[in-house]
Amino acid sequence: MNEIASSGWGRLRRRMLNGLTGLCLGLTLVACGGGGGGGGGSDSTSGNDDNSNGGAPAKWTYLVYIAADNTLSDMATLNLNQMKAAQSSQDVRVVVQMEQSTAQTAGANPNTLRGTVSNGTAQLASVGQNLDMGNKQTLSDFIKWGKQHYPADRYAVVLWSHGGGWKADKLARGALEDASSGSLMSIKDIAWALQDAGGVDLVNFDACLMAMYEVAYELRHAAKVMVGSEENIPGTGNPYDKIINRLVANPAQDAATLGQGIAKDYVDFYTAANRDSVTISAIDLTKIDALQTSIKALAKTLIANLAGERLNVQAARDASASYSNSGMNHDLVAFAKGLTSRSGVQLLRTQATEVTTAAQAAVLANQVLVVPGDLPLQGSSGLAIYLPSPNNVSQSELTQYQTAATSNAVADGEQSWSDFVMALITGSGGPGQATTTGAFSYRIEWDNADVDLDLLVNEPQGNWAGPYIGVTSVNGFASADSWDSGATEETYTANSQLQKGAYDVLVRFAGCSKGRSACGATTVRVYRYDPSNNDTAAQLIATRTMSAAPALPSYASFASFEAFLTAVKSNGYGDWLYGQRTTRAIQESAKTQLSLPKPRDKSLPQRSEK
Amino acid sequence: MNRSRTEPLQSIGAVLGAAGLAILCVACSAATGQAGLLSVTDVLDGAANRTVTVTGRYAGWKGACKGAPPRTRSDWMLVDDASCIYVNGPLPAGLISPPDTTSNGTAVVVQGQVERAPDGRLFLRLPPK
Repeated sequence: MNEIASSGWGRLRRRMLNGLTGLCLGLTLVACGGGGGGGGGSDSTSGNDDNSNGGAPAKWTYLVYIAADNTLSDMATLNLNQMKAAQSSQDVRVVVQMEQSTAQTAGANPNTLRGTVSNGTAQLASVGQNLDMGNKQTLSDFIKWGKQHYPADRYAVVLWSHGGGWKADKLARGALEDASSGSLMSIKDIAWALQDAGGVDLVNFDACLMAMYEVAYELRHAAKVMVGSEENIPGTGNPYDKIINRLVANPAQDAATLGQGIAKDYVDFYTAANRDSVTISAIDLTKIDALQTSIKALAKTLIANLAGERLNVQAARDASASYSNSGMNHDLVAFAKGLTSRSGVQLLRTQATEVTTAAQAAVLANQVLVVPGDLPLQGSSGLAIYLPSPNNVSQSELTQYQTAATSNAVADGEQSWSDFVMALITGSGGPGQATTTGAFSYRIEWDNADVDLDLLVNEPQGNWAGPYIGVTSVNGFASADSWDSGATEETYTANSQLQKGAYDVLVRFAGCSKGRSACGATTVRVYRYDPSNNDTAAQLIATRTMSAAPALPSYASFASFEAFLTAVKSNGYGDWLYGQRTTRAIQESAKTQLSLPKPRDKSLPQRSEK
Repeated sequence: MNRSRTEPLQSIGAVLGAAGLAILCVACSAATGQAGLLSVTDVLDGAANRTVTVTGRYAGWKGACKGAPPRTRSDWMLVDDASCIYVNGPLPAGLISPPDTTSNGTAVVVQGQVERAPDGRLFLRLPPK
């Protein structure tokens, strides 16, 4: 019947896979019924027809494209077993193409497998070669083959693999990694493959970080509904048994209903597991053109007003939920709402509100699960957008971003989101920019782990920065907050390109560290590393004992920033230490005074306010 | 926590290097074995449920770790000459996300909690940004 069934390799593979997970009961790869084979082209023979419907179209064909020739290989086995555990129906056909990693999964078939899953059996046959699952033609061929041999009223395709939203690789961004082929399919190629195969009703990314505006725009003509996650996804991905059962229970449902159901099943599954914070959303791709229009309008106004609005933009960005290991993707609606509440420009507020409205109209379903102690995903609304900080982006990546479809659907007089991102990062956003170069870093260490100290830097525009404030600021970035990490050290590092002005470095005795009710005093050491100051090594610039008392009056009680500094510099207070002022390019007297109007984010919140 | 006198330099250097000043990270590996700063092998030889500071080389998705990532599909690998451990959490600033391999091999210092996956493997979990 097929090459697996006739070989001892198949039996070995069965034993190995059974050993890999406890869910492998009844794995029946040795009983493959065909369902394809022969080169992976769309003209393969149909083979086994257990999943057929006597020639009549099914209601849905659920195509699952598992690019698991990578570190995720074992998870493919688990998910395949979930599919086998699902109910079967002549109205719903489950069609799979899968490739695993022989390096990761002992006994895995080195070739690509293709076939169907029904009645508790995975009838997968080798196509006779190891296909490049990261190649757009391979994906298109699979969908065409599935449509030809398992026709249905509606089609869903699940793209199972690694994913990185619009960004994953500077050369080939997207999803669907095939490590042995050295490939990762770009979003553009995914869109091409889906369209080349005639499109689908629903595309579901069982991959990290794909619920992005940029991805949705690229796929807007390839599917009606897109399901994906703004955040990384747990290794186990979709709960396939629940999703297929949902489809079997109501095969007449449309793509929007299925998308909403997938989101619900996904979050229900992880709620029961209570281990991972997750996001999942279903996007109506017919609404993405309107979203693109509103984002372009906002981008143009942002660029025109960037000199005056930079702090508000960065504050809105830093306050919005962020995703991915490097924090470059932010929730679109959270950012837009943050901008609306912060900006002093009426047109910006209006356009940011229009972006919010357009994004919310496109989101059919949005499910967020926040597990205590795991990722803080509150405020996730279903679509992320690329909005990096200077510390986590390179010029080459910005250049790559300009190749995204969202960046190129721009008419005369319009400006794209990538134009805005470029302006935000490179400082080319209009007059008034006062940046220079010269990174530096400060670090504090203290010897009493029961004490929590904060390294705080007041940057040239008066805003506070440091680990306690957030990982990024206008001019730099910070280590983890010691309150969260339990460490007795904190670091602040200025960007290579930074605003001219004075950077005042202070240390605050915040109180006892998390979980401690008493803590006493501690000795703190402050280190500076500033190559512009001829530092060739970290310099110890201050050592002092700090304690809760005597306490400095509240920051808000001082008439000006300089008055506050004068009090701290007196060394008469146990809870504040003045470290040093590092200046870049201007006189110290040019430091922004507290009495001048400031954006809201320039206050110094207390621990209880965080 | 008592720390060696050289450690501030190493850590600041690693961070500044990430900011664009390619300096000092070569010093990171020299600190392996010092009190408070562990190697990947040290971590894997130890227990779970402790906070550690680890030095190693970033390996993205191309390290020698076996098995699927313990928490998310985007967990990344930290290696030394003998061992590999999965890391769940944000990349150190300045590193390029996998599958891009540009940053692979960069010496980094990270701090996080050692946890045990359901299958028994130890992994490192970093606090979210």
